[in-house]
Amino acid sequence: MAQATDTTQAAGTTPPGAEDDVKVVGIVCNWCSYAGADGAGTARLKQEFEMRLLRVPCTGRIDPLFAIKAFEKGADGVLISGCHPGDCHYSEGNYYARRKFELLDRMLPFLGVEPDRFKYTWVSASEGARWQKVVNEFVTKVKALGPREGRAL
Amino acid sequence: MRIGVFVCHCGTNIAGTVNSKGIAARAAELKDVVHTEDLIYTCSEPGQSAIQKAIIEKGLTRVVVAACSPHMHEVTFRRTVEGAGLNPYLFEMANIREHCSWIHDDYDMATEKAYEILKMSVAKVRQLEALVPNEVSVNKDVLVIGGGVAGIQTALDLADAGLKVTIVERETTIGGTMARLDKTFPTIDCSACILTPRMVDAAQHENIEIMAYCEVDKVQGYVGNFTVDIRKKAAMVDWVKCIGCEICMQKCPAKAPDVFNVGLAETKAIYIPFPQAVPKRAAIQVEHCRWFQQGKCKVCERVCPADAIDYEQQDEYVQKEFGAIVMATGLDVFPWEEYYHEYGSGNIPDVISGLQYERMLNASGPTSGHVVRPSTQGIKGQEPEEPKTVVFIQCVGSRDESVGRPYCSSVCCMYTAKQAILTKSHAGMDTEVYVFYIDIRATGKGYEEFVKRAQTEFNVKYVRGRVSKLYEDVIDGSRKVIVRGVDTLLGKQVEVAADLVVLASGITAADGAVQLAQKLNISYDEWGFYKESHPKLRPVETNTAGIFLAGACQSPKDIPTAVAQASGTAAKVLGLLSRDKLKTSPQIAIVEQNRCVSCWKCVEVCPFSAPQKQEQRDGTFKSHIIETVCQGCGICVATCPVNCITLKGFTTDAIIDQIEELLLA
Amino acid sequence: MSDRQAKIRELAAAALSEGRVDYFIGWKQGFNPSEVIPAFVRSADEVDELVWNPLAHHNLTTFLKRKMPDPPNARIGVCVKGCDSRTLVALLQEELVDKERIYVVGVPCDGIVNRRRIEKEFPDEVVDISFAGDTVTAVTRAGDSMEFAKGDLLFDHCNTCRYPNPFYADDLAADPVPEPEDRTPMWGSIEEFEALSPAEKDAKLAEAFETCIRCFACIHACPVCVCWDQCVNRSRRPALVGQRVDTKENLMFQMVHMFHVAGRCPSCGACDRACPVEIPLYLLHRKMNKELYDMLGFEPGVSLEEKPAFQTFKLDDPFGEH
Repeated sequence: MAQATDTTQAAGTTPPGAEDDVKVVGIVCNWCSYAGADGAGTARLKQEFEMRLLRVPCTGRIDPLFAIKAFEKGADGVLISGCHPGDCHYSEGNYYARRKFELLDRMLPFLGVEPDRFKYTWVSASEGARWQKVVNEFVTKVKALGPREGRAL
Repeated sequence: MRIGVFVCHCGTNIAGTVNSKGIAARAAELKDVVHTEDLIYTCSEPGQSAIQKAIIEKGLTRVVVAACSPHMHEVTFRRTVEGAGLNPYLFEMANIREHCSWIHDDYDMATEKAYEILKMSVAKVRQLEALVPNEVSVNKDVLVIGGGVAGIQTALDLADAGLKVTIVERETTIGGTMARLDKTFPTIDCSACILTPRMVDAAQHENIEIMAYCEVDKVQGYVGNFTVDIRKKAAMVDWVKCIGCEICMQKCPAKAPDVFNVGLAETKAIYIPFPQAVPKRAAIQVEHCRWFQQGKCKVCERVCPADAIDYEQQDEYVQKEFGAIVMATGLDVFPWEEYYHEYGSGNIPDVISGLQYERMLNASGPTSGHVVRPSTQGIKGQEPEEPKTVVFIQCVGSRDESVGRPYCSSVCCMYTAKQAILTKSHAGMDTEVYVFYIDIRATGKGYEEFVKRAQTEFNVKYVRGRVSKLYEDVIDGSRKVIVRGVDTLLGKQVEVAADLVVLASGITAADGAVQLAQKLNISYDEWGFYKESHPKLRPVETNTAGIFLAGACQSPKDIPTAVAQASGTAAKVLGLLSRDKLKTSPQIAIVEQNRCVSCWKCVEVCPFSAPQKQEQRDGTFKSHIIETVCQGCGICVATCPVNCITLKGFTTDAIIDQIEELLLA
Repeated sequence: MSDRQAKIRELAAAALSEGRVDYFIGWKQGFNPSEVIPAFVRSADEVDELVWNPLAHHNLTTFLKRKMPDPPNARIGVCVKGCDSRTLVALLQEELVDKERIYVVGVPCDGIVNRRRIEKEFPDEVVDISFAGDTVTAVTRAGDSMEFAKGDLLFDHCNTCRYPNPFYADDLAADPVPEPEDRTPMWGSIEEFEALSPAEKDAKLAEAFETCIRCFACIHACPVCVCWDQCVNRSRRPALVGQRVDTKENLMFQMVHMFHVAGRCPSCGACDRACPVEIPLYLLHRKMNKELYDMLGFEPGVSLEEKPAFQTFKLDDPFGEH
């Protein structure tokens, strides 16, 4: 594993259930990003608290509507992560996903969701350190925006 | 529905940061949860028994275990619940270790997060259905990609066990890197002498077919049923007729770089890489051939006693079917010339790589085994000189973040010691030999003793320190390579005026490894080494069922390790192919045909062609997914606008329920 | 315009009497002269009810999707404007329409008038709309009348039209009208909405979707929306959209529709025109098509050989950090 960077903030962390607690939903593919997150855990790479992961076989399984549904139900941030293009365990799933999520990424601001609240990326099974970095940077940005209140979405 | 929740302590791995007992007790408040329990080591025998006891006594219909990653123990616990009579797919794991206790420090917050993760898994388990695996028949033939020592070992083990093996090798001969070595550590036995008999065994084995000068073009299918397109490259020589007499090579007027000799010599445009090649057949490198480039010559055709030259030959494609594939694609050497400008970028003739030096030491190499200074070769009227001072520099392209290679290449300390000893044997005990090292890694059987021999018996001077610069200078009328380094044990800078410098260049993945991996959908790391399924527990399998690893393509290793691994790989392949039928995962996609609107989007997007247009009794067509072909990726599920395709185990409702459980307090 | 009307009638009559089609879809006068509605003509002596004027906004290709209650192998004639022909190509790209069984009459179009803009000028019902050159005259039941310049009344998407002439048609109802010099799409007034803050956007969307009554008119009018009774918006499984009619569920409903037509929506605007409560659906779809164009240079329904953008991919798609 590459150098571990400890970027968890110790002080000023919001206890869960507090007024400005944010909830971040991560939908990750089983073969690459979920395993990458496991790798980060095995190497004890400290991360922000707010990420909650859902496992799917492939990013190709993920309908952009899941992200919209998550925002609708009150998610403050949504992260999607899968295998790097070219490395999909099912060979093509992430190519389809890439197009769909690029469109989603461009549409969400139009629906009133700040751009920092959504991200799609690629983390491989051997990239535990990268997973830590992705999570910490993304959750920090979502926390800076705070909880999201929407009437339409 | 009766759900049982089991929360693991995992010793202190989880319980040290998460209140396992507490969240187990809290889980009793969740709807349908009728049993909760916390266990110190759930995967242990008492832990598994506790689960089974609860299933039977409480009539549980769903089980959630909150513990480590499903990658760790999902298989274990599926077997546990099946043992108690519950369908193994009515089981879900909540990852509160890798995704919680191991990445946080705050006890209260980690506990709260673990409980949320647990709740999400309970929401998911409610959506799971009992599933029964399908069976597919299995092809027992095996493809081994790469004919180096690891590929040969695996092939021989499998062939001896009665399986039919095809070795596809992209060079004209098998043997790989080991065929280029002179002697092997720590026994100093001749590499070719131990390898070539195995090469011949492989060639003569009734169960092994060697397809040399071939490459894998395309791989389709799945475990037990791979269909592979193999390209037979045009050698411009009919290999049925060619007898390997080498006359063409002797008479060919066109020179070409000699890849086998790592650029230390030249070969001819028509070539056989080395005398013990298996198969021993000639091939023409058309980019260096006078006939193909200028339309002149054809000497080889004239002199060939077997009439084997065929300038019209084309690449041919064949398709074969296999049940399992073994990757044994081996290694390449780190291209130090592109990175180590402080060592001359390859422009100083007397600075060479370890593999080049190996060729020089080899009696059948370009200098017939004589150790010479390359700067003194090819000068009219002068014999090449023997070096009086040889310097070895270890860790060139290994253990070096600045060139993006932080890893250790495993073999360089040992081969440097070997080459140092051989230098003394070939060039005389009075030759001054220095080795600049950071550490000595001599972990194998007899390895430490071997290095000690180099230092004591052969008087090789080991200097602990790195070399900052190499440059040429003339000292007392003699052309030297000045080696400027440091001796950290003495705390002094040192300088050696060397006649020859050998860089122990590190090991990289073979050229083209990444492209090949993408054809097979196997994972690789940032340097192109193939990823094993689990670094400790599954070191020879990949995450793609049916595809295995052997040798240096997985990580740098020495010959004993590669051979041991290769036999282990063979054992795994034998295990896979020991039955006539394989169970396939039942977590696949199914179309609810009542709702299908025949838009065929699923048919278009599936990478495996699993959905088919199926004629119904009323003459209309609906989509139908072939169970044994479906890999369970879910692309069709996300594509279907009606959302009438269900992916067992990962349904849309399960995903939505997990999201809602998390977000709706 | 009346030339086109005459030509449409002529072509329809010929197709019906020669037995080349079983029925012909065009436009006819609605309940009063101020309205135009779709017409289904089954014999040559009915063709005189077919009209053509700047109120003929319906995209008639929506009636071509399979699962229509046709006799088996029915052959269908249909009128298409320029924008409608893109829809037809989109349907053909996906093989949702059987090329062999349709007869397409293309109508070059100068722009369609937005009836609602006229209605907003009067408190009373508009009973007659007539056209003379570029002047539009509207008369109410009470007898009030007003004149308008046609240019002021055109639909948004007529103002950004790049394909006024149908490019997929068997016969044309008139000579082609002048084409724009380049086909680079224009996206109209998205920038105004894009410039709002996230909270303002949310407020505007909430305001619009509060009024949605889930009548499904947008879905029925949309030509590429083909799931009909199986639409997941009607279904309880999976539970993407609930039965409750509230702002968030209403927006989710539209998002389901929008993402399902992503990469296939040919920007015809039928959804917008169909909505009884005037939710700005075209704004959303236009934004989606603009982003699709920026991403891939792809416009749905322009080339028969192309595949819908999300049914395919390129290995080197130029986005998504690596």
